[in-house]
Amino acid sequence: MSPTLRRLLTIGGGAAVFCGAALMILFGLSGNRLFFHDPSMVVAGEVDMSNAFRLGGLVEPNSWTRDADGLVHRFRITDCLASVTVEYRGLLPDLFIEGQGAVAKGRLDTETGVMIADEVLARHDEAYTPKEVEDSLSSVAPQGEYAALIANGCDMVEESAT
Amino acid sequence: MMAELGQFALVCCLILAVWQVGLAIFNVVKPSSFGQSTLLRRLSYLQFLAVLLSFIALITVFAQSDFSVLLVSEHSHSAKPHIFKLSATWGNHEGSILLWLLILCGFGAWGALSFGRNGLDATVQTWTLLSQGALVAMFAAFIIWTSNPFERQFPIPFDGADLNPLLQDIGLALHPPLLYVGYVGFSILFAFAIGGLMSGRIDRQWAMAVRPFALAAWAFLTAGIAMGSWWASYELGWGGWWFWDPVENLSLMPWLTGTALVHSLLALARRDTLRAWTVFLALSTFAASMIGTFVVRSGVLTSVHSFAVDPARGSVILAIAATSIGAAFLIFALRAPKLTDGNTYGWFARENAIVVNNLLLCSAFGAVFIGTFYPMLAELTGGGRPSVGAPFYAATFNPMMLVLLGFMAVGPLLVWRVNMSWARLWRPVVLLILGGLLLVLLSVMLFGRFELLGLAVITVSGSVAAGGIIALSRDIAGLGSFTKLTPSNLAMPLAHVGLAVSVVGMVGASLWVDEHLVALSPGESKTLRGTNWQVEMQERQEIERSNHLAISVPLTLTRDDGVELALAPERRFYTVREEATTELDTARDLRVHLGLTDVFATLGQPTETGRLVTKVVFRPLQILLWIGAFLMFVGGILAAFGAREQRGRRSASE
Repeated sequence: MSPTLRRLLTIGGGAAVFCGAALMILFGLSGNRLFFHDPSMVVAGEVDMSNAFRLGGLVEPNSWTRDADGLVHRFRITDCLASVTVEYRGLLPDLFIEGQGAVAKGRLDTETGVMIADEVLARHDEAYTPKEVEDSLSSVAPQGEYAALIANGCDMVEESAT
Repeated sequence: MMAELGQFALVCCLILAVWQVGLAIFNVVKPSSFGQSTLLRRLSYLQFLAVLLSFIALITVFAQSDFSVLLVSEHSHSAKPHIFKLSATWGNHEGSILLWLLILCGFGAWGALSFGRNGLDATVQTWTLLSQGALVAMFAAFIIWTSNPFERQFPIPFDGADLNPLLQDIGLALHPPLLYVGYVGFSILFAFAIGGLMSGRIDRQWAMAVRPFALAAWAFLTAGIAMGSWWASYELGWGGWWFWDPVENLSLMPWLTGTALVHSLLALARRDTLRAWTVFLALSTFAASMIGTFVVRSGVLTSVHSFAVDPARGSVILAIAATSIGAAFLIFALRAPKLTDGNTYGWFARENAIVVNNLLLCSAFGAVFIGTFYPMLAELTGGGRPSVGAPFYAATFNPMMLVLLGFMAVGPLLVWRVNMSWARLWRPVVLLILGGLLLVLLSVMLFGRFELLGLAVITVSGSVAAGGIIALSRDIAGLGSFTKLTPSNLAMPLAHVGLAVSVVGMVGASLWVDEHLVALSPGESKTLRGTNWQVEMQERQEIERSNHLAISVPLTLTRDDGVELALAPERRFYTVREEATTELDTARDLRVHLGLTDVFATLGQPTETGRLVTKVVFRPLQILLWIGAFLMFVGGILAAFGAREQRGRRSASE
């Protein structure tokens, strides 16, 4: 085998493997993306119901209830413009607190409009709000003022809307 | 006083590094006398000593709980257990980047020391120390100007703010140092690669000189990743061992290219082939480590590890990373065409097995890279806010690794340079298949699970382990006695068997998990649905410890045949930071799957009725993950030592 042919084969083989890998990655990506939505988008029906997605916002105060055994949780996630009810069976993270940021992953029950979550994430330390939640709320309130916002029952927003 | 001493030592390190760079440039321009190259090396040792002094000073102020130092008051507390006062030193941005610099200088000093015996010529030495000195100077300056750990404050607070409770753990005490040794260790490869490229000497001698560093860094990176995964599996309480979190991925990326590198370095050291490709891998691994350092500290990606999020610091690290990576690949682009092809080999020789290994590992790297950075790119380009999780990696990374495992079983059976004949190969291949089937049989007998995917992966893992063992037994046969085995003979089999063991652990810990949620009152007992286990809750106990209150809930798990497991998960309340955490408790028993299944329990919040939700999880084979990682670590360290010995023998014979 001539050196040129050998070189060609090596490079060709490598390129073929990488093309295969690239195709795999592209197909893997197209089928397995999870999009983030705020409650307003869900309520407005801008969300593709057939896919799982992530819903983020603040846990609405006084919305968190549990069944008698404490196994199934129901709470509302709000962005102060709209809210969506989430149902989750499992243990909630330690830093899941009403009035604080949380992200739920799951599917929307098309009949009831309730999201059936299979994972709920909250902050993991005192300084951290999920980035997407921060972004989606930044249109409603300046950074760091969500808690005050929520405590007033989202009053600031309604005032500014009127 | 200690803080000022530490600060002074840090400045000394910067000056020494700048001196080293200046001297090296002088040497390059005007080829040096012998004395100057000795000085060049000594400057590396002195940098290490200076940073060591500085780091000891930082540990001392943490141990003394000197709250006049801002960092200590922000991350420590006088009531914290002593061990966690020490580990708090690197449980924050400033301290951890100082540890980073310490390890960087440690590898620099080791590199300088190795020049005494590896016989690389003066040009390589000068360029290597120049690159290393430049890295040290950039990071030292970064610490001094943007992340000074020794900053004082006034007035002095009465007590500290304490460390995030999740970080007060032995796993955290060990995970970052191990991981950093791995990450940072690859930086010396960057220096050596520049040295080799600038002097045009990428050859067997260069590969032999570099291998111990690459192997040591790889071994520690493996240990660091495993330690982080172990910590997450019990401390975060979510009961998983890998979450495809961006920061986890960032440590996996240099591991993948680093694994490819230690294999291609072997081909270069033994057979003088794959020259340009090996240097490319060395630089890529270094780049992956630098990108990892930058991303973790900049808050670019959303991650559970978002400690030390500061865009200003991030941009400085980005500048350092961009400079060094840019320079490295520019030099590569200019110099690589001058590297000749090296020796040729047959298509079915061991060299080609290494090429396949490299291609697959790089493909897997691509999958992790895209999965990690695609969400950011999509958001920047207005494509919504997507995230990719486990399903993406299951569709891309996992099959690539499965194919790799298949090749990995056969690879060690091939020989260098010439094609392996089928006549010599079929017997070992039969043994490989038998090894795989044996492992599947054992796992079915023990666990009775029949998922096709799991069993397929276990078969291939069995073959990989068998491949390693066959290679070892061939070495023993060649040497005549197993007492003549050297560390190098043991290294590959240990590392390969270790990976196989870990992969079996991954199958059990992800596919065969069995979770049960039950609500119980004290004294009540329930049967776990679909199992022959009963769980009983005892009266809860309140325990007061130095910096937290704990509510411990003893649980007894009883199997039909009388086997009992006692678990005592806790909910803790850290008084200083007013944070609650859940501590899961794990038990194993030899009568439950031979002790290979982790049984653990964790607690939820109490309900109004006084009942408490507990989650009981059976996670088969999880323990094999860490055992396998330990074997890989030992294999890597033995290979590093073996590589040093071989190099020593060779230079002695010359």
